[in-house]
Amino acid sequence: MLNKKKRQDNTEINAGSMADIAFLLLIFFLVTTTIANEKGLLIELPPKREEDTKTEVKMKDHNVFKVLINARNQLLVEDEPMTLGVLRKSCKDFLSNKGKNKELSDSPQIAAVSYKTDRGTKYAIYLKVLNEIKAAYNELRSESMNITVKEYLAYNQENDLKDPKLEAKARKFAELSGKTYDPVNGVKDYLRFNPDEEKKKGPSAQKSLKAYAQVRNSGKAFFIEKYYDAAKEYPLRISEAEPTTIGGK
Amino acid sequence: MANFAKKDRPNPAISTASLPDIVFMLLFFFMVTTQLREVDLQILVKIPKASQLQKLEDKSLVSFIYVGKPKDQRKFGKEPIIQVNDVLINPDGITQFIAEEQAALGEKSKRMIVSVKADKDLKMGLLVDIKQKLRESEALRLNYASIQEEKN
Repeated sequence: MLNKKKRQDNTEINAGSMADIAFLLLIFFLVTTTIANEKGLLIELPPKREEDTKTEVKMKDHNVFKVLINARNQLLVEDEPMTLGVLRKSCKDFLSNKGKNKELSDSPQIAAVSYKTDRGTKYAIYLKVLNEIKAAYNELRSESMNITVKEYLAYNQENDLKDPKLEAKARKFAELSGKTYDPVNGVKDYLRFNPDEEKKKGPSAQKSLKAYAQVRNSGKAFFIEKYYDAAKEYPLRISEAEPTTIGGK
Repeated sequence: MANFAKKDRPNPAISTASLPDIVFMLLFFFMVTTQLREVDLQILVKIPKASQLQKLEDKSLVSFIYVGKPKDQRKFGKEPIIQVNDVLINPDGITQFIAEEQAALGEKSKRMIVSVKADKDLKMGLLVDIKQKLRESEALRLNYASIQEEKN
């Protein structure tokens, strides 16, 4: 009714409470934040077998390291009870035996770990044992690379895979072995090339073997090449057989 | 030697004018790094500890499966159950979930990683069923999510 518009002076907004508002927001984000750490034990599952192509894998008994856990979470290694603390050591001994002891593996390439659990085994125990087996592999690999296990685990290969010098090597390898270079998987094909495996293929593999030796020995070896060499030396062969009932209930 | 006699100076007040700036900087840091949980967990999951952990490099390739006992036991029972996205399913539902995730990834589906966040008190039985379903769906790269254990 009688509201007259008064002419007000343009007063400045008081910024004193700005800090309070900012603090409030800060505390909100501090509380709600969960810094993402997606870490874990990575394993490769075996592909699904077709019923009719079920083949018995024949391996010599001393080349298989048998680990069993029953429903009471008891550990049985190579048919003898064992405590978790000794597992890593004995798994390492088994893998790095290289034919010295007749009861252990002939070479790390053909050695395999067979890991069986019962349906009633606790997940935490299963993971602890898997952790020890992986630790044995990781320790052996990092020893052959002369680095610590921590460095081995922290290594991220994604950046090194994009290295143009490495790509040049892979390109040369493809060229010398008479293949067309695959821009997507070419680098990995080169890194995964396993001379020991190829030798078994006979004379047809001669060309690529020669090419690999030539490219691999040219210039300084990259860290990622050593990383893959360690993986070839100690390939992760953990077979997770389908669980059955182990021992008594 | 110079004379370092202590002079009695008045204690000047610390200027707080830059305080908002500092707080804002912290605020922006947390705003950028924060990741609000995408899924609302309806189950209890306590992830086990392990030492030989590797970081998952490409997060876009990772799909999560949560396994644990339901929080609301009157509604869903006491038995452990699987949660994907926002729904509770039984092991048979995994095939469909993986197919959807693989379709979403397209070409990269071969490199897909399935991260299983499972409660440490679970029995292996359910996890074995999950593993079999994953093998059937050809999602073979499996990650057991775990927390870093300090001792080596």
